[in-house]
Amino acid sequence: MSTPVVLVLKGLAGGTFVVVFALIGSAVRPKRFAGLFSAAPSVATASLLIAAYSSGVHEITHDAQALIVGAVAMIAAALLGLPLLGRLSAFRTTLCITGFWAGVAAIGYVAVLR
Amino acid sequence: MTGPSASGPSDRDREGPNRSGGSSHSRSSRRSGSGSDTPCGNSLAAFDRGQLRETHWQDLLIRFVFGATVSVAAGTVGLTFGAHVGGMLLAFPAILPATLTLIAKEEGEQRSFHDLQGTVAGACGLVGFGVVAAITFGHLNVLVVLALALVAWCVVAGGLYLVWATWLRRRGVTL
Repeated sequence: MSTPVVLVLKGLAGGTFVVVFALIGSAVRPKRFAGLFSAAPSVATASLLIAAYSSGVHEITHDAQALIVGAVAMIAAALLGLPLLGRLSAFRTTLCITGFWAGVAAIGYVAVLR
Repeated sequence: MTGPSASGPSDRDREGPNRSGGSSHSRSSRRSGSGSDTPCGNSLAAFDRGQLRETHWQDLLIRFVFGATVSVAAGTVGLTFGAHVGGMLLAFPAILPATLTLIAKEEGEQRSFHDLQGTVAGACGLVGFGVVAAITFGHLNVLVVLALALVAWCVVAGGLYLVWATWLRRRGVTL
């Protein structure tokens, strides 16, 4: 498969998985349980599935190892975001969470993966 | 898991929904008329099919576009800078921003706080997903690997949530 085709397939699959998990998250209660689906492996499942058929096993093993670092960054970002909700608007909080995630992921990359 | 777990349930946990406001015109408030939209009472988990009918296609489109963008970005970054950099983006909080802002707008900040607490458990599950995938890729069929990894996510995230929610409920906190 050519690179553009792989990227398009990853995009379509990623978008679809995100919608599926978002639908599940919107239909379950209570909100604390629904929150689990905000960190569902939607993009990961889609991308690894497509990558498995377009790249080698070696490549997706590296993807999965890096995913662990990204997931730890997400735990840290969500924990850091909790005290901000209520002090900042939800939109600004999500911006901070995204920034926290990027920062922790960068530290994780330098410390573990590089 | 969060602050409350260390020193007992916080005020945020004890108080009812919509403490921090939220739209007075929210769909949920209109439906229940009481500000509480929990059809499951104080059960640990429930599925409300009615919520699916209330989901706007525009919200789903936004999430689709966001998910597709993150997936393409992860793929492009992986091709440019290597699998280790692109792989980290697979754990990018793709659903979280849209979900948090939407919940805060329609159901109040208290609900979005609860959602973010659940996200911590979900992210722990994501670590389990990555560990299982990293260990089993190359040894098992790809579909089996992904199925096992999804099971690991369910077990870790669901297990953490059950322990934490049971602990909160025993202390009289409304889930």
